[in-house]
Amino acid sequence: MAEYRTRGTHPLARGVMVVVVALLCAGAPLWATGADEGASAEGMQPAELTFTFWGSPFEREAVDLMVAAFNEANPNIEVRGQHIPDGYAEKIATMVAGGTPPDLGYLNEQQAFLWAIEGVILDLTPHFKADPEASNRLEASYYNYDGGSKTIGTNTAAETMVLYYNKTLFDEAGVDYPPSDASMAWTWEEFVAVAKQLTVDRSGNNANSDAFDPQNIDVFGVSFPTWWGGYLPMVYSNGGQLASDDGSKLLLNEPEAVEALQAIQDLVYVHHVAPTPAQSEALPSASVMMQSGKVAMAVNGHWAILDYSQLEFDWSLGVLPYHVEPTTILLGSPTVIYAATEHPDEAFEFYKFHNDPTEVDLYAKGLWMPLRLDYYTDPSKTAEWLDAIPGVYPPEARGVLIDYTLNNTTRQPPAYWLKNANQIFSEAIGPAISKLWAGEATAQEAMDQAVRDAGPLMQGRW
Amino acid sequence: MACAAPAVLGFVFWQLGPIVASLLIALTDWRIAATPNWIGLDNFQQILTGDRLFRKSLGVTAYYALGSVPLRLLAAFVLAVLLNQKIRGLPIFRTIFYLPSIVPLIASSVLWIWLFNPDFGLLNAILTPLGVPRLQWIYGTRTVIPALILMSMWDIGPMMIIFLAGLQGVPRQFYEAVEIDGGNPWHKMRHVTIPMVTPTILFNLILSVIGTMQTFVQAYVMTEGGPDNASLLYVLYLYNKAFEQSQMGYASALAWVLFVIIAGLSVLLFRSSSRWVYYAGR
Repeated sequence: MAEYRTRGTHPLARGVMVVVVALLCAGAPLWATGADEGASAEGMQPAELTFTFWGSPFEREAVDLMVAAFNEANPNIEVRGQHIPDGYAEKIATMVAGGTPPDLGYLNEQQAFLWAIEGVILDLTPHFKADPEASNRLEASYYNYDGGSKTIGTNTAAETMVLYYNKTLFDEAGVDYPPSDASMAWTWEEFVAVAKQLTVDRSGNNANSDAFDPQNIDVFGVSFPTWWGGYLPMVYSNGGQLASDDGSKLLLNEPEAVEALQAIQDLVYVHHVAPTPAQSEALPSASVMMQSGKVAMAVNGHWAILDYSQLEFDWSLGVLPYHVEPTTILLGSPTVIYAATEHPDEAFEFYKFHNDPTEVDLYAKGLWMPLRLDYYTDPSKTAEWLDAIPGVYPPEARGVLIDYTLNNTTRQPPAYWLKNANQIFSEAIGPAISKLWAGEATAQEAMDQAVRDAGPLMQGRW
Repeated sequence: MACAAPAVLGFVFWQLGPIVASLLIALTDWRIAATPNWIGLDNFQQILTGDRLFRKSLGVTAYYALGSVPLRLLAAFVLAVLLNQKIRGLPIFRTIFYLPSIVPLIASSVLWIWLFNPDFGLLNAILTPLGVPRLQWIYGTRTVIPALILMSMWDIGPMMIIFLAGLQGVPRQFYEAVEIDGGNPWHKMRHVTIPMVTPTILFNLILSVIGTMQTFVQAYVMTEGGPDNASLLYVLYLYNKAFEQSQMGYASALAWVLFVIIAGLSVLLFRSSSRWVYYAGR
């Protein structure tokens, strides 16, 4: 996950980070450098690769299995997976600074670009050119630089933003489910109307009622994330942009963007159908809230299917509401190969393998979406992905994850192309957005501030 | 000498080395991956002339310190005086007031997030029925620093213990002299206790200023500097530069600027001490 997406992390997780960084600063070697145990008896020295990744224990288990399968299938290559659950960026940075980078691994977007420019990361253009099957991936998942002539590679996996909902709450209110086909997507006004019907106070009045008490809401209509995964699709859908295509200017204070952002703020403070940031922080995660019937809809990444599928309640997913054009975003973080690797070809073999849906069950379990286009265009491939484990993906998932991903993700999020994105988000957009969600400024005021503060930080595109 | 060697070596390698290195790094544009370029004082020039958030974070930190340091000193002193009385169950009270200080800062930060919640938090649950408007605490730009100052009152235990030690060092005969002259408890406080503990006050004041200027965990865990940078404490800004934006050179320069500021404040406090600190020996 990108560095500036941390608003979603739990305070405790940030606490753990403090401890890790403290240990790191104290010079504790937290990563063990394994011995050369892989030398095979046949006299052929296998190519040794170190692969670093982050993720939950659950993701670690799946990745470890994939690594073992790869080593089994490729006796000439020995991959050693190194799981770094916390403080990933710091640790990788330390390894690179110490002259011992891994051979390949997950990396956040900004760090990947910075290092690609510096030559620390391998340009994979020749590898993809030589391998048509490997290069047949979702266009929007590539991280290109140098005016598009070079590429870091693609996301580890594809991710999109979708709308989850609790079917029981919809049935009880007698409201139609959110559409799963982009051509039928709700307009913003339709979405707000549904959210108001589903928002209920402790006396049982919904948000349309005159007796509705916004101070004592029992069930929220919608939970809307505060980070850019929530608002960016809405800005794009209204014809707005985050920054100009050449990366020289922030455009969030243009009318299209402001209108979309104001509409989200109004969910909280005008329509009272979504919790304030303070309320959200004290409440359980949206999936648990939805399970207990306290929120009817939630905008979240498709990766939450993993969580939802393990909760026992009647849920499904639909496409996001829209302003002018139905839009979601394709996001993720890249897997990169480091230029210092002694075995670039072997590393690329593993690169292709490490996110192959036949080798990693994270696709079937709902955490990842495939990158290769055939999983979206070939129904038998689609079935291999979505039907592998019955009960994970609801029937509506096909419409939401296939066509919506292929047709409605045309504009890449800034992490894919905007230079200095971390600083721009951390110092200009983030503060203004937090003020907006706190209800202390209108969208126009907040975004004028963001654009003003971002002025000196804009450095163009990668 | 040999016994001190581990400590000396540890200091040289783990503290002095990095300290010197950070001064050199501060004169470069090191961003971890790239080869560092020597840029002289450019980082310092940028900090002092062109960095909006440096000024913002310094302002936030000053606001926090000006609120937190005097209040903490006052509270710790008052508590120490109270706990210096001869009452039943004294060890229990001392333990209770010290206890919060042994809660790890991260744990207490998470605890205070709950206390501060505008909708479900204990503080508003108590205050709102009393007619206080519903405060936003750490979620409002105007209330976040006062909220953090309030929270800083929670771990005054160590300071209180030091005051207590200072109070117990005040000779009894001075109080008896006041009593013989017909003085009341206020006179004892004003003319004996306070002058006699001024060295302790100076000590606590300096330590407290140094510690407060370096506050980090609360802002990092509870607010991430928000909303709208209203709680962007200096060290949090430094951390963001180093670990979010990988600008190690710039972050090192920020660290040295903070060092100079803290050193300057400490010198000022020491200089001023000759006017108000009373050392019994002299």
